[in-house]
Amino acid sequence: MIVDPDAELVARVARGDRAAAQTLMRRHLPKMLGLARRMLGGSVEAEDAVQDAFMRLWTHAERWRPGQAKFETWLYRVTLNKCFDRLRRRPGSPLDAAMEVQDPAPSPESELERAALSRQIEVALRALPDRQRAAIQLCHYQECGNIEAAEILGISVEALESLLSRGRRTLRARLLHLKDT
Amino acid sequence: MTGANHSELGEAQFARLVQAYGADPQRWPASEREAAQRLVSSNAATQRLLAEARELDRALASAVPPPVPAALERRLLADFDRAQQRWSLRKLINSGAQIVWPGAPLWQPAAVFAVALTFGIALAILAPLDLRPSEDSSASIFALDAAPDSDVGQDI
Repeated sequence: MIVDPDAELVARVARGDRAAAQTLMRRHLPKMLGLARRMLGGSVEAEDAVQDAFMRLWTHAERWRPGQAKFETWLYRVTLNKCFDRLRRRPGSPLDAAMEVQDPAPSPESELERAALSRQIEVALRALPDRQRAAIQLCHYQECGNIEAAEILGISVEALESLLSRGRRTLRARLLHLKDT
Repeated sequence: MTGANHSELGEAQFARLVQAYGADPQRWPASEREAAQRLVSSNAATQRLLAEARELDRALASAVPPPVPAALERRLLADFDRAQQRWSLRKLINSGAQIVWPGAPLWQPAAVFAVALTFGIALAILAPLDLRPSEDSSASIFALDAAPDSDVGQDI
């Protein structure tokens, strides 16, 4: 039996509890949005994907059965599928989307340098093939364990490790110059 | 590299582990974490691999995601409210169906209603309709016309 920290909140959402919906949203939205932004590039499209995923939660919460899989795993899977749907419909290369990375608000010089570095990393991440990017996003940024990440992606742990290794190798090659800056 | 609990880890296995998960032991599979940490403490080659992986980890960690826009939170909660309204309507229909046919899923009373409606419409279309008044019906109308006279003078 899986102990799920979200199970009670999901049950309350199913009964129409707005406060529970708000708590659940605040708990997961930042990571879901981070995942969608890195997968899709543009903020607007990422927000739409996250909105679709939450809409699915609002309308399907009553069907949720605790103990089968962690709620968070299901939620990431839905979000990721919404991102993959959009990527499939999108013409052009991932690099096109990478150019849409937005700068943060104007800030002091050190902040600008940090933002520039951050942008280079975002560009390198978005240039990765979709599934490699998703694997790195889940394991590095979402702090998912290998079994959970593999479950979200619907692949074996061995396949996940292969995606991670290839992704990290490519990133290392692209970001090698950053260590000298 | 996955699944089994390895008591010892070779350099090659460690390299595959670090190449996939990076330098942070917290990201390593729990089944291999302890053996990997033991190996690092006694093996210079694995320490070099770890240092290389740490560089990439640091770079990745410096990518800071922008904050969640407040407008998005409002949109999501508005969606929740709309979903609840639709859900309330569905609940009302369901409870109505439960009164008509307790214990049955919604489709059963809906199907009976649809069949009854179809039958009614078919009957209305196919049944002969004669609008000409018959002699008997005219007689009834005259009888009704005359009826108020009999009530004259009565206290109601």
